[in-house]
Amino acid sequence: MNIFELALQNLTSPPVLAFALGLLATAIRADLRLPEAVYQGLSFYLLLGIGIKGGVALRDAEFSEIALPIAGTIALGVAIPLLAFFILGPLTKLPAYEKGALAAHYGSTSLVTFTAALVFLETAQTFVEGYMATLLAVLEIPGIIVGLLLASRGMSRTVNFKESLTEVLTGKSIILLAGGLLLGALTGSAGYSQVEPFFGGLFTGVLTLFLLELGLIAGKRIGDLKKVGIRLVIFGIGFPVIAGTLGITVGLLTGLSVGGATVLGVLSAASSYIAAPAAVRLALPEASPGIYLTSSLAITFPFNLIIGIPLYSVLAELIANGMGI
Amino acid sequence: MKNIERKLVTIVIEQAIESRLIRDLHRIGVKGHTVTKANGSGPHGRRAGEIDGGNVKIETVVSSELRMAIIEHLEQHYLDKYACVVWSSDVTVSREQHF
Repeated sequence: MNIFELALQNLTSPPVLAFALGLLATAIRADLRLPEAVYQGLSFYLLLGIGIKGGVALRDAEFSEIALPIAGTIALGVAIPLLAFFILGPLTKLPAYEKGALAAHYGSTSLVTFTAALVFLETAQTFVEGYMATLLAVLEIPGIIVGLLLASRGMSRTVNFKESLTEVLTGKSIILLAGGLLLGALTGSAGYSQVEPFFGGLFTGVLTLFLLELGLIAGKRIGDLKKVGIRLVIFGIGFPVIAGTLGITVGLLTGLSVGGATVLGVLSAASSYIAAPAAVRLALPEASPGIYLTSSLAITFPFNLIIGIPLYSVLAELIANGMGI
Repeated sequence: MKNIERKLVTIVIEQAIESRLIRDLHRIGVKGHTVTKANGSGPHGRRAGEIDGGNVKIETVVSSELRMAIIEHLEQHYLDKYACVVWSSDVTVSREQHF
């Protein structure tokens, strides 16, 4: 398939259409909102489901097969926030704490973007290593630490890393994702078959509902785009492509398939809007949520969801061909 | 029934900061508190915690000395950094040892 067919396939998938419906509903000021408890429940389901499936695959994988991709993912977790911080320097006039806060968000990653990429690749019948959820969990943390470290440089007060780290490590993202991986690895395929109708069969449907809600939330932030300015919009679209390309290259170099490298590209390109905001808010109250949340949720997330995912899959093909893989 | 004068201190703060503030309150000497979810708007508009819940309202009934200590602590560590408002009012309680 060429890039236009891929883009069209992605655009007409139920989760992406539901996201667009959420944006539209907010634009016409419809009073729609998923109840808080349902939203929390759906995010539990997605995190645990992704974790369990990844864990089952992890059990069947050889250590030698996953060691290099994990090492590569940790390196990406350190390199991407550094890159974001230094690109933001000449591009914007933001102070170090704002750049650090943004670096923490772009260094970390997004479960929903990852999940949408898996659904996309499954529809395109592209092979993806089953253990990619492990890399999702690995990439979640280092970016936040590096971002906070960068922000704290040149600050007169000390930044409370311990509290933010505890927040990330005991937050629902890591507990449910890592817990799910462990659960899946212990229970294996036989155990998974018992919960498959719930966590497998219903998965895309739940993702669709969750994306409708994210569309509603992101839609409310779109009005803030005028406040953040064109330079941040350029960053929010341009940086994921750079980070995504880096992720794809690292994926291919560490032995992932083209599908796996696409997913690592998506993970690298995606920015956090759940784990990172909570940690950054505690450690860096000076940094403005109007900048980091708007950029992450209203610019980068829709870009990755609608254009980024098919783009990275094409880039992965091209880079793999160029490298002779 | 005895009528004992106390102060009801009400704090509305973004949810991301809830557990830190509650730890601080108990360290200052607060014996008990009530947390409820809170929605609304103020001069600053929306909250960082919006995606994972908005604000919380923390209420505690304390002596007037403790009320001063709480407000001083908030002024030093919270009011200028976070979306946070505080007010207090006179209340009457019946069990002195509880508050």
